[in-house]
Amino acid sequence: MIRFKLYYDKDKETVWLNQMASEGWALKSFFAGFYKFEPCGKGEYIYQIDLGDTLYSVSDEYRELMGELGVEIVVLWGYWIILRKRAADGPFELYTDVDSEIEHYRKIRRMFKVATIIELLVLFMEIYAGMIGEGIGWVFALLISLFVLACADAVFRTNEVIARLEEQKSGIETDKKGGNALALIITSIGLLTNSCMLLVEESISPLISYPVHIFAIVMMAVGIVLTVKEGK
Amino acid sequence: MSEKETPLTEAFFYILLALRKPNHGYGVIQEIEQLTGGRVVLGPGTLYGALQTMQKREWIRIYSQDTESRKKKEYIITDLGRAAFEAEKSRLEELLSNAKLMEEGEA
Repeated sequence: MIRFKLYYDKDKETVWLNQMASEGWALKSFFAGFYKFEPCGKGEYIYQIDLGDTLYSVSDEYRELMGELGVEIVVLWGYWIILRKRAADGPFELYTDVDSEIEHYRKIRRMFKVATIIELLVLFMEIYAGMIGEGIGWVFALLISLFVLACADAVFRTNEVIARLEEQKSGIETDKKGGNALALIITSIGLLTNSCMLLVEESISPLISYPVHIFAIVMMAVGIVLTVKEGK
Repeated sequence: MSEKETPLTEAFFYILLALRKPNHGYGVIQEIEQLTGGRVVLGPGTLYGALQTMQKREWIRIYSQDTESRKKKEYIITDLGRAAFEAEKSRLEELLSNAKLMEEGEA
């Protein structure tokens, strides 16, 4: 069985994979959002997702240690490592103390930060292409801004997870600021898109400019809604 | 793991202890589980991260590596690792000896 899903929250992905396993479907392979499952005993495996240090590979030491502990490497995709262990061999948690868990989420945040920055650069290039008259640039810009949003959202979600873990470690509550920053980014993307559109409106076809305008307005609206929600 | 080297996390403390003699990954987890009566059971990610960090700090090293046979990789503590462990031990002893003040207070 093949399912298509796009995840950028590995915790939700883990829950889903374990849900599938409990229904008798074990993940076998993954390619660009396509998850291939094969039948297994109900709840035969427990899945966990780790983040590696290198793309599409793990060190021999990692592979060896996992093998020794009865953990199978099912998928290597980008930096992500999908692992599973037979449920009969006992519980399976990758990170068992707060310190290593914080370290794990910091690594995830670092990856999403880099991805956000790279995609923002690409976004500006596409906006520029759009402004000099390459209509297709706007289409890509729209697509990439969705990626930017997803990555930025992942950074802020991970921030919240780390803040929660830090609290758990120190016992001291910290201020939460993550949501505001996300609202700010969404609003600015909306504003930016809108002002770019106003600049070049005359020179491009309404077929492109209307959808982009709508996108910009939606972004600004979402930003405002998030800000208001945060204020409560 | 965090940048601070002291105090040691429980995982670091027990891994150093378990590597006073050559031991492999699964052996380390088992010994720590035994020593703590099942309270501390290290996850693979926590163990791998700790082994990597401690090798970088030269607190432990690979003791034997036999790729020909299916023998498991073993690690052992180094002198630097022993020094880190001793420093933590002194810190803990200080805590314990100061903790006795609490009993005096009751009397």
